[in-house]
Amino acid sequence: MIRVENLRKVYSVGWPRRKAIEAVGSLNFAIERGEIFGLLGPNGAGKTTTVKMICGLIRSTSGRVILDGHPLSGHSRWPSRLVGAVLEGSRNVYWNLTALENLSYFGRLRGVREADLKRRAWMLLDEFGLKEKARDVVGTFSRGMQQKLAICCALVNDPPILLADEPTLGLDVASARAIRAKLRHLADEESRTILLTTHNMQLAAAVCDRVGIIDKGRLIREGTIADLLDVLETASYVVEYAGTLSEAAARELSRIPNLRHSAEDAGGEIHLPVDGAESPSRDLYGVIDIVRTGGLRLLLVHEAKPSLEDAFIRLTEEDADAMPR
Amino acid sequence: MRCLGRLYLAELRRRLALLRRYALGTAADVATFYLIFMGIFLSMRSIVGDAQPEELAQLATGQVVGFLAFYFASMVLSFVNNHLRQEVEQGTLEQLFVSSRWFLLVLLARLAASFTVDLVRFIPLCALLVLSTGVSIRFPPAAGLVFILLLLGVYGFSLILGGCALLFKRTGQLPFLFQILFLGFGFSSLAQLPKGVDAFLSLLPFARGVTVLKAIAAGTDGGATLSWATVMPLAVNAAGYVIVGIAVFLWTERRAKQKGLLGRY
Repeated sequence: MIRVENLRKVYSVGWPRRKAIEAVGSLNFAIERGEIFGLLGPNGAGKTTTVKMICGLIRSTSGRVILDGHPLSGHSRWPSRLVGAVLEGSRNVYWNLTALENLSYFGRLRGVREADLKRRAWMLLDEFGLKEKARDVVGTFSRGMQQKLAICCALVNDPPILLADEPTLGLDVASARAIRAKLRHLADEESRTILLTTHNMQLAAAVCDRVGIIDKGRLIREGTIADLLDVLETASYVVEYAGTLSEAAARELSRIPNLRHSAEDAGGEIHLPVDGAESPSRDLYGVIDIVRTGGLRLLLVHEAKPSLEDAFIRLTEEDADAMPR
Repeated sequence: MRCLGRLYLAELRRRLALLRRYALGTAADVATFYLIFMGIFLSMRSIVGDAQPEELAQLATGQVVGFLAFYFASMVLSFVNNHLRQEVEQGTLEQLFVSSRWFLLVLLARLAASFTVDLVRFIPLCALLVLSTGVSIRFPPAAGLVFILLLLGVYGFSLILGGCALLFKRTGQLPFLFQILFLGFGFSSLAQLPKGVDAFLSLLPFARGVTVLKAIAAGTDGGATLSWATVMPLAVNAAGYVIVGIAVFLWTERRAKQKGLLGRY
């Protein structure tokens, strides 16, 4: 449904000496119908630039975008038939108009026939729980409601693709949860293809079928959440203690393979990967013994499951290490 | 054409909704224009106080028409710039670009809708001016043609200024500078300027058109039988500005997309 091939954006900045800055470098990915793909990355990674190139707001330096089989280039740069976009979140709609007036306005702009416009607008308002607020001025809405309306406006002409740039940014927990559920519904029940950008790992883990991690304009890893978690140990034991580890105890610990130890002034954590260990439980008891005999106070022993956030941090750190200095 | 009609309808409904919602602001706009005009009119009248009644009536008619032409021309002139600024500040400009095939058409439809609404606002203003000054304005069909050509030229010029705003940002003072110049054209005549200067300034949109319009309204021109020799230069001037304006705007839009500047101001 969305195919991005060698998409690249280079800005030329500075005066009088021009300097080329690569915002996005040779990006490749494809998103199937009914799939939610999350583009994850830190600030300035190139997520928004990528989304804006896909919807034709920024012209790429090279490469191409293919939407539902149609290349987005030259005179055909009008993706609104196929794409709805929520780019500035709650600011994507007119605050001085009512919800219904906004939907009617964007519907006409997007070529919805007059006969269908009212029905479509009311249907969306109903679906997103905004029916009661249809005739209220958007400026009086909560941020979550404004965000929902922005999504409604992007969907008013029923496009098969939705692009959402940071869709839950600045929303409270309940509103963010409602938007997440709505996005999942749009993909599962209405087979819409959704590309969202975020640096919110919870959102990505909760709604995305696949994610791509983008850093410094390059896609450093792409796959399902499970694929990404594979870069980490599937699980590890964590031993938390209070006190200062002696040199002798530290030497003892260093004999245990794959162990990671992080110490602070008044205590520390010892991570013991389960996968790859010959006998994880023997290692765990060994660590507990070292802690006890070293005169430290054992605080907690628990099993930790790696999160998408861990994977993201690991991958972006690895990428930074691999970059030429 | 159907697309433009649909866009016009969308814009007209949006404008009417805003007009209804902010009725006090609308009334304040009309009152401001009325007070500015009366200030200028009374000052000029005190300067030419000993003129013949017939001359005074002609002067007053010219001033009323010049001012009304200025009213619309200044609206059109700052139109593109103002709308780009407002949309960027609201955060809706990129949404408009994504939602429409040709943003230029959205601007044209929006201008047509604003013009329609301004015509409605113009009726009380016009009535107030006529009542206050006691002038009677002749407005034959030929004057309508001149008026449209005048505004088309200004629209083309407005697209050039709007294009500059897309690329260079914060160029709000540019339309203002030209509005001051247009105000001068509205109240004086090109013929009063030194030779050479008048020829140069008459190349600007509005300058020649408003002179013709004032002459028609005051009855010093052919009126209903306006000659081709008068209309043709106006038409060429307007067409030139519209063509250059569209070309400049499309080029700057393309450059802004290359530089990733659309969403900023």
